[in-house]
Amino acid sequence: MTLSLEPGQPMADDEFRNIRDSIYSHCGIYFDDDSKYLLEKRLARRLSALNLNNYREYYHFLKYDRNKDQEMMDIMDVLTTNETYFFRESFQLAAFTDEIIPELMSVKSGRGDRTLRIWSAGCSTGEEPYTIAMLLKDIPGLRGWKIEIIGTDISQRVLQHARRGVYTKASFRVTEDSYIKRFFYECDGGLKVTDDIREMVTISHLNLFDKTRMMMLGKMDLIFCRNVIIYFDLAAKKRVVEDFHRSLNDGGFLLLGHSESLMNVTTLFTLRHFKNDMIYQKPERAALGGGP
Amino acid sequence: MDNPEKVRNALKSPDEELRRSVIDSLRGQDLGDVCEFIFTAMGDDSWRVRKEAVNVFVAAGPSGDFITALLELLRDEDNAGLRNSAAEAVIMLGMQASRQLKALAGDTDPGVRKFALDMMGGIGNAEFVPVLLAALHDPDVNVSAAAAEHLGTIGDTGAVPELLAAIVTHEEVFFRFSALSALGKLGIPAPVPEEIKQLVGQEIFSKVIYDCLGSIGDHTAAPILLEGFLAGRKSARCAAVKAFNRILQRCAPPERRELSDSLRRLSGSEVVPAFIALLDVEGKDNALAEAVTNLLGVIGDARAAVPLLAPYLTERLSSLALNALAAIGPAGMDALRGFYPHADEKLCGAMCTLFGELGYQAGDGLIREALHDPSPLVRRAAVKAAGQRGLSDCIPEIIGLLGEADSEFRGAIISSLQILARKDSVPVRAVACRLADSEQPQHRRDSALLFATLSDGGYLSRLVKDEDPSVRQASVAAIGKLQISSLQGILQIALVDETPDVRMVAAEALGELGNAEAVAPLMLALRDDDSRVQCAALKSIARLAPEEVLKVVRTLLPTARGLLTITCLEVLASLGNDAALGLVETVLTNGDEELVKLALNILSRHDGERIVRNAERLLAHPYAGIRYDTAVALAALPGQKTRAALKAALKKEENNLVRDLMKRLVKGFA
Ligand SMILES: C[S@@+](CC[C@H](N)C(=O)[O-])C[C@H]1O[C@@H](n2cnc3c(N)ncnc32)[C@H](O)[C@@H]1O
Repeated sequence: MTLSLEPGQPMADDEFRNIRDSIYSHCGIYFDDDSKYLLEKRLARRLSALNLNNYREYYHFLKYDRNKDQEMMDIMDVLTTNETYFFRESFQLAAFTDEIIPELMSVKSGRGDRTLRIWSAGCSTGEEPYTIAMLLKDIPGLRGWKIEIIGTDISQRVLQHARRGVYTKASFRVTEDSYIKRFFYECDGGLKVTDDIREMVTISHLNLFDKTRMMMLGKMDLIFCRNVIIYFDLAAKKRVVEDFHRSLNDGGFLLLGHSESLMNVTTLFTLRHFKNDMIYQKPERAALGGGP
Repeated sequence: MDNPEKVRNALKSPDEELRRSVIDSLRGQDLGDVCEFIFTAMGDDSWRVRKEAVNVFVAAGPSGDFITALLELLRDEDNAGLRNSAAEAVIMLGMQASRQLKALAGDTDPGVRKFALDMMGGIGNAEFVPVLLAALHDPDVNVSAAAAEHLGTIGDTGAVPELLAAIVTHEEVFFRFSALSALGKLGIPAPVPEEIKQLVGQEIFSKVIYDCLGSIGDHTAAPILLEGFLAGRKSARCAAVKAFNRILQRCAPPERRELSDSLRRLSGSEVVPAFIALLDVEGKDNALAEAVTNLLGVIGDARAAVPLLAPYLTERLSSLALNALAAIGPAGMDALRGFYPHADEKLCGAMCTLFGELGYQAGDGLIREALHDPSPLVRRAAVKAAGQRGLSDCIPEIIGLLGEADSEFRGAIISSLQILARKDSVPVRAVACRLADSEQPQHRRDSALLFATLSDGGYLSRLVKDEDPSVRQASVAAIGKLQISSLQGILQIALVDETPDVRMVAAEALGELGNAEAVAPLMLALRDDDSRVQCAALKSIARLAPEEVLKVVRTLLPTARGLLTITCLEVLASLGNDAALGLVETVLTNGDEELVKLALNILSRHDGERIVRNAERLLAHPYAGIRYDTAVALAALPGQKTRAALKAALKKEENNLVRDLMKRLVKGFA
């Protein structure tokens, strides 16, 4: 006798649209019509785990079940693409360390403020915020500053990984040996980030579509949100970017992924040309010419 | 009634249910037409039929003549069921029957007189006291004893002197018995009356006298009761012990000292073993076990120490036994130490705990040894005791036990180390660091607890980022308790943690930190989807910005539900001002019964006028529980208006329980 695997349930078009819209309104991730197969494949396992017969029932579950919120949280783990690695996008990081941080330091210390708050929004498994911490460690002028790096993500699974801070080869594809030697040690068959770096970073949970939670994080000097809003449609992008604008201090910076831009999204930011990269900045209030 | 003949026949039917239902069908008919049948049914063989008849009769609201006729039934000597039914109906009619009852108390038939008195006791109204007092001198002993008994039931303390006098004049044992027990019920402590002293020594009365003294005696009863400790009959001994304990409990301090001194003089005497013999923690007589435990402590004889281990291991008696052992002092502990080698593991564990709890220095060596005991139970007790005794030299051994400990044992080890860290922080810090690096989350959580004791904000700020939520939770809580304000930022971020428990303690901790800057993020946390987080945030806001919290509650209250509303109400109650109570008043219209009850409770403590204002609606509330609570609250308030409201509500009330309460309350007003 051969073991026959039941063929997956096909997803009808209206089911697809309903489920897609629920996901969209939860987190802004938008599956266009071509992604139906993708969604079907990723959710098939949830169907059998919940003992549901078809995607209509699954849609009803998402909409009405007592555990709907938890389910939505859980499927974020399978729906999001969490690909990331240390020192991703070196041009931008060079602009960050060589130009943006020195500028922020001089502006802020001029006001007698020696704190720096950096947010890695959509940090996935944590490589990005730890990279930021390692880079800042090497900026001598920052000694004595109070630095807070906050990494957040919607997927709970990646947060666990980020907090643990143990990584394998794929995360180190562009990492220089000297960094590995200084900031990692062997642990559990992988490399673990040293305590002094982990201490600089706080990992927490956040759906970028949750305005309230976003406001709770407080004001930032700089936001990294790289390779996250590419999954959003225009309206969602607008909404999130406007919330970023609110979260930033005047003169603060927003760093997007290299293939992302705010063109057609918002004019709230000005695009600054640095030697190494072009970066969005929230204008200083004075520069807005608000008048008396 | 269409056909009396039919009813008469039906009442003869062998079918119990038929007889019952025919009586039931007479409900609401003219009593004159149907009384005959009802009275017949009151003497029916079946209890259910009799009951139905009594109910139908009482429900008919009988007038004086019918009551007189009812009372005549009491004369039927052949049918006990009938007599009892009649008596039951009279009791249900209550004071409506008082005139006829009083008349009956002078009947020529002693059986009827006794019945009349019994019914007076059943009704329990003080109006009958004069009749009962007179009946104390009835020539029939059954009648006079019943009079004494019911004076006790009615509870008018004015009857005490006459009861005492009657004890002297009546020599019948049976009467004296009833009178003594009535005196016991009336119970206002006073010097032992001469009348009672005269009876002491007559063995037959000893138990009832001791019981009585337990109720009415003051410290002057001590000599009698001390003698009773060695009474011949066990029941009398027990009664004396319980009585002594009761008197001791209610005495004023100077008299209590006097009593205690008299007890202490028993130390070393043969009374102590007799006392110990009465100690039965598994027996049914709780009061006895409590009394013996307590008195053994007062006597302070070291021989009691080992026997007191049994109550110490019994939850209900444990704290009493601990006090007793503490009162016995070091000599008792020495006795325990001598007994230790012969004890089983349960007792050994108990002794270690006691040595720690009572700070028994000479037990330290034993505690040290017990850390190596083969029994985990003993080791755990020893760990705790070592902490309480501050045996910092034991820290390495205690740490050594961590490896094999289960979660409960580990809890004991950690709390012990928390105490010992104050004496010697170095080894505790070392183990905390080791635990912080452990793979096991529960170990890291333990380390957070230790770092909290060590006030080590640095380590806590690292643990607050742990991958395991329980570790984050413990660290966040510790940061709040230690009030490390430099970590406020971390706490604020913890407000968006994915685990609600962490968010909740973060909201609490921000309140503990006491920095008003946290109010803004806490306001946002009020929108959390977990109600416990919302509640914690609200409480913290109340701490940090009491002047603003009223505004916050005002906006929350209209949409809040369940737990959050309860917290809102608690906050409002703590504010207690007019504006706050105005908001509490709005909750009286809430659809959730529990919330209305809570609001009622708060208003009855702070501003009853608001209940009066809402009385009409509340007394017509669909939930009986609310009507009940409203009635209670109203009764506690002064004024005619509340009374009128209650009376009006009583007319419409359909729930038996609530109606009974309202009746009692309205009567209480009278
Ligand atoms: C491709 S990863 C990017 C990681 C990192 N920023 C980088 O550039 O290397 C995208 C992350 O965005 C997260 N994400 C997607 N939608 C989100 C939302 N609505 N709120 C927060 N995070 C979201 C995903 O869970 C995923 O971990």
